[in-house]
Amino acid sequence: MPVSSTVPPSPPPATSGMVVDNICKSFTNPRGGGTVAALSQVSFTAPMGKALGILGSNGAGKTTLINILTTVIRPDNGTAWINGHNVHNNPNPIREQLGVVSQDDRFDNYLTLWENLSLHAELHGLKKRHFTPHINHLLKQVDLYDRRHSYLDTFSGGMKRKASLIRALIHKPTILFLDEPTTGLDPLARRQVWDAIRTLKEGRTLILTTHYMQEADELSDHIVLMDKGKLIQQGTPTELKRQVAEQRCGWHYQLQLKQPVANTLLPTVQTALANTPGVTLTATNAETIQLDFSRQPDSLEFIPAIIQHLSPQVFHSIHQQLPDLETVFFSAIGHTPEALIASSTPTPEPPAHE
Amino acid sequence: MSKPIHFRQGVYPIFKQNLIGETKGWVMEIFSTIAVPLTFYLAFGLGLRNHISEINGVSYVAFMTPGLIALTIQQEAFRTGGWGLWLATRHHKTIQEYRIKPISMTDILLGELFSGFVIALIKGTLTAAVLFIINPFTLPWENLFAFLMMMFPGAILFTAVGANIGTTFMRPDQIAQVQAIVIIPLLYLGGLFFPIEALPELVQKIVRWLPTTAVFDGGRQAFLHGTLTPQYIYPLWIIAIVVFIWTIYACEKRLSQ
Ligand SMILES: Nc1ncnc2c1ncn2[C@@H]1O[C@H](COP(=O)(O)OP(=O)(O)OP(=O)(O)O)[C@@H](O)[C@H]1O
Ligand SMILES: [Mg+2]
Repeated sequence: MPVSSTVPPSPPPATSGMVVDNICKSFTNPRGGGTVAALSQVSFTAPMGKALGILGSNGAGKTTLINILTTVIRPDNGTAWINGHNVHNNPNPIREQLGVVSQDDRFDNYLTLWENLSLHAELHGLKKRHFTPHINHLLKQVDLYDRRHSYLDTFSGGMKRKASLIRALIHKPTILFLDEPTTGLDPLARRQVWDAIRTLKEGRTLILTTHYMQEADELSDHIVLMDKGKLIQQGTPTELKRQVAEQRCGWHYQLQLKQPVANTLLPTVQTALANTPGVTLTATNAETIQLDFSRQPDSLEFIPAIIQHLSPQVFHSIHQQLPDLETVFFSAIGHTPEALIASSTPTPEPPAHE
Repeated sequence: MSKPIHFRQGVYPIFKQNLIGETKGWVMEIFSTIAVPLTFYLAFGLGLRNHISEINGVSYVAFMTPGLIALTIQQEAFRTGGWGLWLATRHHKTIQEYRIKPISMTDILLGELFSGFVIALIKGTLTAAVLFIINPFTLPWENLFAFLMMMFPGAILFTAVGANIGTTFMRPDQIAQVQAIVIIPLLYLGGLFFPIEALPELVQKIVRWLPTTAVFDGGRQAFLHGTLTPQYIYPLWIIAIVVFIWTIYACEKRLSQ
């Protein structure tokens, strides 16, 4: 692995946004545990004001990457810039803007929640008369106001996650790093945090890691997929799903009708697709017709053609059927759920399909 | 590595918070602080009082008293520096959280070390108060300054040594091992219970080089007679300052990896 000087050859990019350039980080385990390459040559860019989801299996290097981007640890090689500031040579301008919900909650458990929060406000240079009402407001929002004078070691895991979120927001940061923010939260609390994150997205840059694919799908504008310290794929959720659709699932579109006339309309749709080769039609239910393409359609001209042939009273919508993000994830790390189950079953059965 | 020190935004809040943490469960804190010196005081000071006449012209109880105060200071300095930083880096991981604040690593370490130093001195004062309450021997106030001149570098040194150990080892039992192998011999060979001159010539030569001898033997001379022995005070201050500065540098490096 190339580990040379810590000074990058390339000049700092003038553009705003996050630039991660060839980051490498290894850990030497004590007591002869060998060296782990936590990150190998990770590079990507992300614009400001958007939500970036970092996905990857356990040990993929997500937290290490976040620790580097949030100036906690230094990379062995490579650099990162946030809004033109070198994360490691000039960290304080970035730290002013950073809010971080770390994976391990990092509280002084022997102090109360209020003492913990006020310390962090002071470390951001805030005055007590300014931060007190703001913290109280945040505490009330996540139902922790009544517990503000309790010691952190009496908090449940989910309560600590909420407390971490508050701490990250005390100084009104413009860049928020959320390392598994909803792990350990009950379904209601998770929804509340999602709603909070959606609100927080306004005017902020969000970097989120999660093992909940639905969460990543709903909250991220752009996704980076990592495995074993390497970046393996990136794109918008839709782009990633399209890639997988192309590679594994084929091309399927769903025509949704407003009335239960799918069977009667099959010939009309067939006519509309006269110039579109290699497509099979199936009425999957009374209001849905599925279009299965044997290969990627040459163009999307067939969509207006269908709309033209159907009356507005009947036509509802047409959209491409895409795999969910979980399928994208499994595909990216080279596993299908079936393969995982098969590999853990003592007497392997051939998978039912594929 | 020259970074500005943010005193009000960085050093002071961390220092203050550590002090607040120390006041939690303060009753137990007081008892645990005075338990060790009080036990030694009762076991040796009073137990052997009638068997040991005078040492260097003072009673054995008076001989031991400055040593017991110094012992509390050194032990507490090591505890707050060592265990405090171990807890902050490995257990609570608050150091990593402080790292993302717009302050420097130097601020964080100064806050941590300075609080260790102050807590050690407060606890030393507590021990002194308890010993003087139960002891007919009165505090030689005129010697207080000289005594503090020997205690300050000792506290700085042991907070710094503790900080290095607390940031180097991953497991708590490793710190306990270092404490048993290095710190305890250092503390007890420095003339806490006996005059250095009583040791065999060769051992004496080695023991005189220990920084703890400067603290205990030098501290006693300052306490009882108000004398600052040059062979103790200068090396002790120099070692304390050098080790302190090196500690800031070394811990900064260690914790940034
Ligand atoms: N301080 C450390 N010392 C040694 N190895 C480490 C250290 N931190 C991380 N690693 C190793 O680096 C690799 C990446 O770890 P990291 O915590 O970044 O993974 P992750 O993607 O966040 O995983 P998870 O989803 O489980 O949180 C792992 O193999 C881990 O064991
Ligand atoms: Mg992680």
